[in-house]
Amino acid sequence: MESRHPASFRDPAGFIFRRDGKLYRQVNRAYEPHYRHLQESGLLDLLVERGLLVPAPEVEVAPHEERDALAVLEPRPLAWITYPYEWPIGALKQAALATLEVQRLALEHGMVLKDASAFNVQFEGVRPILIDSLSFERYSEGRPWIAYGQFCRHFLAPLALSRYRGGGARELLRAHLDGIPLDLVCRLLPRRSWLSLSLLLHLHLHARMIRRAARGGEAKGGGRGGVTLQQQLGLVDNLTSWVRRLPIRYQQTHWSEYYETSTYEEESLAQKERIVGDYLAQAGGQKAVDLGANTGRFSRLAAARGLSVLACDNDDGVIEELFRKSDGRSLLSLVIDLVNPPAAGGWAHQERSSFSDRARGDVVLALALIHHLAIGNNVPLVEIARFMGRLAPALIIEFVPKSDPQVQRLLAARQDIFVDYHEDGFAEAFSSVFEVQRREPVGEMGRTLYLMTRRAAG
Amino acid sequence: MWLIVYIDPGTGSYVLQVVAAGVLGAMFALKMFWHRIAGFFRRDRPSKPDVEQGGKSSD
Repeated sequence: MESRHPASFRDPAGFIFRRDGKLYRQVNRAYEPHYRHLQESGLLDLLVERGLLVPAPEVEVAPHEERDALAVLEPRPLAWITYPYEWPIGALKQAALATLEVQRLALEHGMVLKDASAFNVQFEGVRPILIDSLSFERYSEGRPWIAYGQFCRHFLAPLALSRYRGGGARELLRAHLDGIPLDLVCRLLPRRSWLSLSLLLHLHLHARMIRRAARGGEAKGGGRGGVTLQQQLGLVDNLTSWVRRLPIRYQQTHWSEYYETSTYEEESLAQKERIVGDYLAQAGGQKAVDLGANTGRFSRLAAARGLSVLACDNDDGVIEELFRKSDGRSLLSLVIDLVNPPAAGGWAHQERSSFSDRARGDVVLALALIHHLAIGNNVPLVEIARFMGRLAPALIIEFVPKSDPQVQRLLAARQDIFVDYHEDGFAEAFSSVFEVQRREPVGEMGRTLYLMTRRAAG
Repeated sequence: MWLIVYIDPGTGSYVLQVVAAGVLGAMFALKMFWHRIAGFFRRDRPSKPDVEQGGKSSD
């Protein structure tokens, strides 16, 4: 029961492997001088203490590949692995600031961050944390920051796009796993972005220089001129102040007022909260996936009960707001379109795993969601049941009948071809995957809340 | 077209970084110098931490 992680092959310093369900990181001998310096300079302890790096103590465990091994680390497990193209822009901003702060502290300790990939940052609730303890190498005087181009592609490019062009940068990150190419981002940015010294240098002139070097023109241009430590700190300082000043804008959509304007009266909401709370208590477990989280009312309810919650919604506005209003380590909000969830990708389709492979929890919440999938997107009920059954062994789901005004609004614009969309049809479709444990009507509109558990396979 | 792949894409980044870091390093030195001057006149005030810690944005 042992395998090397499929995304962990680029770095000769070491790699991640899984053994008996646990993740370990092997440190190779080739990395020894850097690893020792990381420990002895005090940088490792400082980063861990400040919550910027996942603690990964050395353990007495046999390495995966004996020949090169120096040590084996056991990183503290994370509740969820998420990707930059799922994060709200506010989260990408925090991840960028954390990366720059790590680089600044590394420079102060005679090291540099050699890898500034956004995939090396994960979130514990709203706190960004670097997961790769082997991303550091000793600083050698005059050498430029090797991860500078990568930082610009992974962080600065999508943040600049969101600043000037609103949403859409997320989709580009999904297509370009090594960050958005700078010539592409420069073609998409408006002329006035040239007025920002930071964007002028780090994106526009940067892109031109890359193009020129590719043509073979000025490849030698900079000669072997170096970058002093003071200059590196200046670079990091400039990037940090641009990112920190970046406003997070989001459109107020009708979803952000959903609970104010929707069919739910305050009384019904309180009743719904009580029932969902009961179901959560009965379902147990540690991790909840809230699909169609909206303003996060029920995600927060689950988080308050001690669950680690992944709150997903396809609406940028509500997720951006939920991220901004959340704190602590238990609630992580993601922009996910359930009818097109992030697929597996990268080398051999294995480097980045699919959303449904990562969003595995103990319970799924699907409140006021089913009509959007079944009627809004024509997804058969039985397929919805199968998808949810893949994510968790327990399901808390709300059935919204056709008579509900929200469903009527959906049906107003389309032909009603949904003959099986009624509560009996719903119960029958879901019984192929789940067993109903509890059922309670909620509110005045004929909605029903269910607690279901997955049937044993076979 | 294929010629492009043989040129290290880091080359352009490297050259640009030398230029950008020259400009920004000078500005940073000025900023630090200014902070020191300002600090001299406000010595008794505790200095603010430079970087916001994790968590939420203030925007």
